[in-house]
Amino acid sequence: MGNGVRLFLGNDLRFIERRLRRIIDTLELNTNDQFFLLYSIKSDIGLETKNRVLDSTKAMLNEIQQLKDEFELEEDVEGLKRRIDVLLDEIWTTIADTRPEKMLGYGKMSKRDEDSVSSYTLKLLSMAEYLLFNKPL
Amino acid sequence: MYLILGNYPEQKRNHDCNDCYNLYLSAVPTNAAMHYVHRRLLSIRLRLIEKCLFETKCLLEATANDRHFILYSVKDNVDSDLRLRIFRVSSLMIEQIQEMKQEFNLQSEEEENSIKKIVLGNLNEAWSSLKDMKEGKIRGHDQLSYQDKQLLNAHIIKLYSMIESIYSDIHRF
Repeated sequence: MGNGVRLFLGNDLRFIERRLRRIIDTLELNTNDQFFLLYSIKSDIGLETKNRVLDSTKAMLNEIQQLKDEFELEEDVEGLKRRIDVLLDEIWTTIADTRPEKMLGYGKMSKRDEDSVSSYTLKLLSMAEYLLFNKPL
Repeated sequence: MYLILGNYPEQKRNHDCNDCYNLYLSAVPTNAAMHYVHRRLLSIRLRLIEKCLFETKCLLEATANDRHFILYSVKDNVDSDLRLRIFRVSSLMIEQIQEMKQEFNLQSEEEENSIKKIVLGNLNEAWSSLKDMKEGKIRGHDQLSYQDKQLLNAHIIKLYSMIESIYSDIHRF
């Protein structure tokens, strides 16, 4: 198999492997309903189904392992820092979009709301920038 | 008059009378009176931030060392100082979101998220990719030898049937 095809095949299978691992993490880590501030995650898969899905998902990973061995596919290395930075970037962008001046398209807020939301978003922005750019808090 | 004090923003979804809204604003002393459009926007955006913070925390906790998988590995290149900073500041951000939730009377997600939805979301993405592969839509597929194509197809067909059986398991129960 040529190097080009090997690279493309590796990328496609890596994409699938990541999704399978997320399924395993989701099933293994979430055994009960979880409640957060603004959302919740309902545990709506029974034990029997969960075990069957886990077994099948792990069998798929074994198949991917065989493909890796047979076609000598390469392993990709990624840094945790980059993945964290992607999430922090998303947080920063979302906070920036939450400033009242960015929500004008949805109608003007009352002065009281505008001042309060501004104060919160500025604090959140400074926290995100502290983590992303090392700016002082 | 459509005004129901204490429940106005929900009524507002089906009713667009500014007089009612202004009357409600003057009657309610706190920011709970924020217009429902802004409240919903705030909820959606803060929810996204909360989810990202939670994912960040999970990633840091799961990757205390390098992790090796089949086709990729994750190198732990976040030093302990930065790790602690992220945990500390994430907690402060969550506190801020909690305060905003209370001050603006923000609601939790209307449509509940579930394990099944998360699993199916990931399964759909993997299935879509496998379906393309099964149909020979791999870049450079035409350059493969006959033997390689046969070998690869056998694995892909097996993977495809496995993923279909996962769908059956999930939908059966």
